[in-house]
Amino acid sequence: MKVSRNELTASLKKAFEGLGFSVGDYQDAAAMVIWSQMHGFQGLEQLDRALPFLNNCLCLHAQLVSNGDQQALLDGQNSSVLLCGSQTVRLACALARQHGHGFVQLDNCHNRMLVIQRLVSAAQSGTALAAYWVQGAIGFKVTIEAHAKQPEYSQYTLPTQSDNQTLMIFAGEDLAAVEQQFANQISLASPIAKVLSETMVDSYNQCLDQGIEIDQALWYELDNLVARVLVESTESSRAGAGD
Amino acid sequence: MPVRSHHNSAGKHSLSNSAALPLRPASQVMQLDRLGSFHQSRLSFMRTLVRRMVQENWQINSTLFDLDAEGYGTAVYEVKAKYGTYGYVLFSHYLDPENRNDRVIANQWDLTMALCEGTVDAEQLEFLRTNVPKQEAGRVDSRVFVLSRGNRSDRTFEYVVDELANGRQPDVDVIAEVGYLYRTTAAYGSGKLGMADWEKVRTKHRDFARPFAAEMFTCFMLRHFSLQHADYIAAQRAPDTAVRLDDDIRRYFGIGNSTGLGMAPFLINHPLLINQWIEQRETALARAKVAGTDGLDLEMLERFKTSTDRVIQHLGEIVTGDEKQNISNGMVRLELQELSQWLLEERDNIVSSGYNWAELAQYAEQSWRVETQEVVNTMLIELYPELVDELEELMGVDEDQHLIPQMSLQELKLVIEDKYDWALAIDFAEPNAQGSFWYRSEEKMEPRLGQTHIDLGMEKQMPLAIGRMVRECYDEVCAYIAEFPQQDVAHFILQQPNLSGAISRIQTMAQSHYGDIRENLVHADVLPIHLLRCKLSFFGVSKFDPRSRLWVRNTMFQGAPLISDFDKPFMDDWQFPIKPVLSKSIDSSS
Repeated sequence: MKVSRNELTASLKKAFEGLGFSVGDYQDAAAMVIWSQMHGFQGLEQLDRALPFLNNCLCLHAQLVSNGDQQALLDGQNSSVLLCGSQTVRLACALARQHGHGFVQLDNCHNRMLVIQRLVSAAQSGTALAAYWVQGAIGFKVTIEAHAKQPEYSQYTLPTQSDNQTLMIFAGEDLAAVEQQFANQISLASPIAKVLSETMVDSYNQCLDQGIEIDQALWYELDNLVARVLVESTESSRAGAGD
Repeated sequence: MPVRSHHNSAGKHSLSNSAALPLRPASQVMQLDRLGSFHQSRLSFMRTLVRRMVQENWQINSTLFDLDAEGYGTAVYEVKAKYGTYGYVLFSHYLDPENRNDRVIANQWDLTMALCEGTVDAEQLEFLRTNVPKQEAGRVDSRVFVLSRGNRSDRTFEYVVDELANGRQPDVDVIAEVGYLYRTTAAYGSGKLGMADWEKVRTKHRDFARPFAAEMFTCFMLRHFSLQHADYIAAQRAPDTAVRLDDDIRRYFGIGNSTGLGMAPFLINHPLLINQWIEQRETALARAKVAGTDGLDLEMLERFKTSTDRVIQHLGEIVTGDEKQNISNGMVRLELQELSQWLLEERDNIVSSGYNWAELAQYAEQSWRVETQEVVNTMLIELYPELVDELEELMGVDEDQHLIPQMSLQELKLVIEDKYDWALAIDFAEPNAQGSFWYRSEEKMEPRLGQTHIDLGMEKQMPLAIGRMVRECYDEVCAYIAEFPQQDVAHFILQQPNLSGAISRIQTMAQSHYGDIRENLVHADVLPIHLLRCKLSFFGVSKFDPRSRLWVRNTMFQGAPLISDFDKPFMDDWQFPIKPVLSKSIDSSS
């Protein structure tokens, strides 16, 4: 079935609220899923995979492990980037604004692909960013220039497998500086895949024009989560609507 | 009312530079009772839509009018606007009067309709026929902009049809008591139920690119159909004797509207949009005041007096069972009569002394009730279309709140103390301060207001208590600063992640001119009707008829031009509608 962006946003916000997310968290989480879906990064599929975990977690956020002038280490407590992503990106941006550049490493965090929207959002405030994570033998890198509307997305083949759940965020005044910072820590060969910004925009426009395809089972699952924030209707409660 | 004997010594202001204009302070404008006293203005969405339709001479014709003798069936209209073609589809159904219910929870209506992108073909019409009558229980697609429904007025519809069928025009006094043949109970847009997203409408369809333009147009078309419908049924009943509704009476018909609590959360959840609307309205008011800085001429005063007398008549013609509203209307009329008398008696002195609008507004603030002040302000805005109308293009804004992570907590604390002093002044320990809570019912997710510790659902309350949220955030910030005085927001939200939403809102709204509505919305005695009226004033409704503190009836497009007027000279002065003065031939026919 197809739903509109506004409709999906409203449903996701209430569903995340039903899962126990707080106001800022459910707004950010809904934005992350929607952006990924509309720009061709399968946000709904990722959400579908994350829901069993989110349904049984205590909405854990990232915890500060260590902190320096230009870098910090966070522990995601095996939670989702839907809960830890905003904290991580914001901390990197704050370090960059205060010290010229910032680096934050978030360990033990899942659903890392969904972080892209947080980078795009943060870039609008004038910070350039890069994110990097590894899944198996694939490295994923996303960069965005300060004030840019679309990121650049690349995948890389790595010589070794890794099962760590780390997300690295680099932030600075401009992308050249961020890339330099990135290169100082991570060396990558040529990318094996890229998603061009034109492809992202085309995907977005198509979703906007024709609606977003969503699996009916997932839509109903969201409905069930939304039901958690609804209150039973009684004769007495109808008086609270004006009767 | 004193008339100054010298020119105003206030500094001159530039009309084109909003930053230099003497905008009223947020501490005055954002009080809930003042927002609840707003009336429609030239910037209201119905006004701007009508201006656009007339100026661009939109061509609207029915391509299908397939109704049976009772008036049930299907009507399709083709709308040729400046930038595109649209389809308006309406289904008329039999409805047992016992099932006629204006509440959101209703599931049957007399009329259901949809506004669509492009021309509606036979296949789409069948799709719409299957889904539109179901409203929330159906699904449409992204070709649809708006879904709406309407119910017949028990008091006027049969009466008007009967009069027309018998060859008579209806009595204007009877119409004045209601003001409409149908009332709409909801107009859904912005992507609900599978419809087109607002961003799609805004970016691809310039004809409806202003906030709520498509929703307002849907209601305008309902008005058009309602008048055709009455004519049609009368002619079917009595082909030999029926007469067509007179054009002056047609213009005096609007569309009724019932608005309940569903509108209230919108205002709280779209603070940047509300700020934008209010800032444009205040800019319009400031421009009007500045335009009169050098004094007023007789022609301007005459227009203002005519407008004042019209509002006096308008308020006198409102029929409401709400005693408080009746008293208020009466008081406003008395104060406006004082103004009218003064304009009549002192007009030469007013002109010669260099008296200006800013002085009048100041007098109003010192002497008259808030509602009268806002009527005066609305009338002032009305005087200067050349200074005001361009602001209609600035009524939209992206509702995007951004957290500033590098801000020091000390600065955040100061921001809260400066911009949210009103919230910090609320004593939430006072017994009634948290006497209400807002929640969504499982019945169509209808927003409802519960009584704390009496009604169920407090643990699921909606986060609409902005004042309380700010207070909680402020207390946590102060406690954290005591321990870590040099820390920033980014580190604070690592410790208090649940406050990121509050901080985003505070930091974002602190950069706006008017910011949040300054009211404790969970007080036991909160009056949500003020929220509804504020939003409705920006829609452009008139004749507020409160049915309780939680919902209000009103009239849309009453007095507005008809489609047949679009190619005629247009005076954009249909605000505060009054009974038409009919020609003798019409009077004698009744």
